[in-house]
Amino acid sequence: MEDNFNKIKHTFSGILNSQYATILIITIFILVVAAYLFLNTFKKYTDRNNFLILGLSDSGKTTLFFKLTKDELVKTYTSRSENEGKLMMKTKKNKKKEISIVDVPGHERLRFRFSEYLPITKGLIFVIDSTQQSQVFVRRIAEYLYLILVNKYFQKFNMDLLILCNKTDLLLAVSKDKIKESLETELDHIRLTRTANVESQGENGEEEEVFLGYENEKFKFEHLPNSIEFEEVSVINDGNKCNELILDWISS
Amino acid sequence: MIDSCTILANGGKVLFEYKSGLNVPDLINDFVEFTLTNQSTNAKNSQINLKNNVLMYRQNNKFNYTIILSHQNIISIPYSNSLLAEFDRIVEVNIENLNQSILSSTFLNLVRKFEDTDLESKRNKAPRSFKETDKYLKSQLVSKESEEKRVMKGYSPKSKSDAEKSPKTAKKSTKQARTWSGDNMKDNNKSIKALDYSKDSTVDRNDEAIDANSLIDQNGIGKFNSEGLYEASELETPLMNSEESESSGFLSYFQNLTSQRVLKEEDLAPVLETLRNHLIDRNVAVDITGVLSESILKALVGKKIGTFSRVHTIVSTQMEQSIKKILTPSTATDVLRDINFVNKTENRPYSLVFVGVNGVGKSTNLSKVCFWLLQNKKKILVAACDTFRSGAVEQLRVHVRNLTSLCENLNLVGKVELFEKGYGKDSATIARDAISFAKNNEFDVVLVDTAGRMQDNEPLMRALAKLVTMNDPDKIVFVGEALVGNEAVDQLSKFNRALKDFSGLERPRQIDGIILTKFDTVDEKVGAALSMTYVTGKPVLFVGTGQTYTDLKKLNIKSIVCSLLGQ
Repeated sequence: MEDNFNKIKHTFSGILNSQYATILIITIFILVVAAYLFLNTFKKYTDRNNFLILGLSDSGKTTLFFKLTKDELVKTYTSRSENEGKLMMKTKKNKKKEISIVDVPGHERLRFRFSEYLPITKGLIFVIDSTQQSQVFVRRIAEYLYLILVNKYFQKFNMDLLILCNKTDLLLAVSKDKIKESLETELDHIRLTRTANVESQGENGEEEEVFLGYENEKFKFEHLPNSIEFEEVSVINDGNKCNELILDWISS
Repeated sequence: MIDSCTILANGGKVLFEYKSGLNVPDLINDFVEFTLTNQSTNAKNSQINLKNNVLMYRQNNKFNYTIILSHQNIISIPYSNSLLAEFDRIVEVNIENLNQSILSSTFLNLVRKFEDTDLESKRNKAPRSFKETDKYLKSQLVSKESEEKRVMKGYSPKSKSDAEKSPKTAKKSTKQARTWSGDNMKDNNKSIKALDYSKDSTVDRNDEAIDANSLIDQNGIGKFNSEGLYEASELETPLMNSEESESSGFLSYFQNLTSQRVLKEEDLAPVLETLRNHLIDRNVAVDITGVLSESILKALVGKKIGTFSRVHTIVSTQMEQSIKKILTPSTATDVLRDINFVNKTENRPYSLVFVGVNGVGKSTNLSKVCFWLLQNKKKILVAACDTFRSGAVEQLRVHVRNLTSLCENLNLVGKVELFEKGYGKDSATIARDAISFAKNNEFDVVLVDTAGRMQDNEPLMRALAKLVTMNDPDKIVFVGEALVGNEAVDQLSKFNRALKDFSGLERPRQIDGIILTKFDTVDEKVGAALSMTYVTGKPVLFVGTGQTYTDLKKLNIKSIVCSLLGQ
């Protein structure tokens, strides 16, 4: 930057002295920047090609993220900020399409940030640790999942949800059907207690929580209008299978 | 000595890891958990103790990573800070391609170097000469100061006359005047040039020699060097500034506008100060605003910012994120789900204890919570454990009577009863009896109302700790006024400490949640919500917004952030 300006300074010092040129340059510069910014924001909000990786801490989100974007296995610890990356993929018509993937930290304190990405998001990947299926963990998973399911953007844009049951290579891993069942039972309880909760202070009834699924019937994921799929993977051990699975899901 | 060194990207990826042995404990996840949940960690202190280990860390905001060193807490490593700084410098240069093996050897070399110098300094520990001591420097300063006073203010007529008499002292006095008044130096370009040794321009000095004042100036320089008290760098900085201002105004302005800026402490400080005052205006406790702004300073210094981003917007978005992070509960706040869970799996009533200082509305909000639970078809027992204030039991009896008739009017399935033993009894025993009564008669929830107490009243705080230890309630709810300002921190921390100190348990109970009352009276001064959640790290379960039973609301984080940061 500095070098460039020094060059300009030397060559055009004569011209630059006149005030007319200064004004001209500034106007052109401002116009270009404004156009660029406008196009950028416009683009961002029209085609939602963003995919989020969500889930509790220590379920394998960051590992999955680096597997997808860089195709490498990295050692990770708890994330404190989002990872954002791009992924090139082929669509059905053999066209290349660029999608972006964001890995949102799963820690309770940072979880709220996922809702900031939702307006530009097309689909969600929710990662679950298949080995952690005690009642306490199911509750925590279901609570996070509930937050996602009742989000107004999730319902408005009819986003797709892929629930990845990770770590199937471990001995204690539970099958995806079992996980689905226990999540449904837990969500059944949560939707009752949440709708019975006292209303929120501030905006009066503007953001009313919707009752998930059908009333008087046990909660089933099939009751929701969104397409929700369950898959079993092991990000570490599956090699390319995991990537293919997700890419298939994304392109569909 | 150093067990492990980890470079962790903020996104969670490990950039580099070194471990001195196989059985080195993996503490990084605990470290991240700690830094995220414990807001109260001092921003200045980059050292924390975890599981008998000391973790030293250094955050790099430019490239978003953290270097973490760990060693056992029984040894102390005096050079760890400088080691971190040095290693950070190396990593920053090579951030593009970090090679594990090369980096680990550099790290080990660095450690060896610091260890050697440390040993060396220990070995060569000899008494300092007098000239090295602080005392010597101080005495020098004092003598100079007094001299200066004399010369500048004409303190002593004798010295003045001396100055007139002998040219030698006259020289000295002029020199002194310039040396000690730094502001003068900036204005006087000539003297700056004369002092400029960094340029090493002999021509200039020759020119100066012709000047009539040159003798005095050069003496001044000589004095500076021989004293060795003032470093050259201090003199260089103003010179560089004057040079910069000479370059063409328009281009430098343009350059400032287009190139990426690195945020410095000086840029942030004024913005943070106004923001801090704004928060104090909104009734946030003063200490907390201090820690908040310090942590933001730490997170932003060294960050590169784009061309058109204003410092103010960056700081306020960072502040918004921090506040959201504090207010977002780290545990679930779904009380109803907890109650169902306990009732079903453990077959016992769920107990809530309401604690707080006098007159904040414990009984009132207890009855509001009671009404909400009644609407959800629960069987509730209210235990009157305020055996101290006259009328406390009667107050609860009226509430229970009202609620029962409300139930009948609204055709609610729920049921509420009062459990009381009159005045002057031990509240802990009453609570125990109430809970066992509730268990025998299949109640779902026990709400325990306690007497209000000031946080400094030790006998009463002991009684509270006893009540908690004896009954081990499912939730200890602190009831606090939204009107409270700086006092919030004191109240909560002392309640927590009393519960810890007087319990006699290895893992004492702490406050689990907060009810913020009188919230309708504060308008946008909602700072108490932030102060209270910050101190305890526990969520605000409900806010009380009025006098009727239905005036119990959930805290809306978005609206709190708006009222805190809005105009």
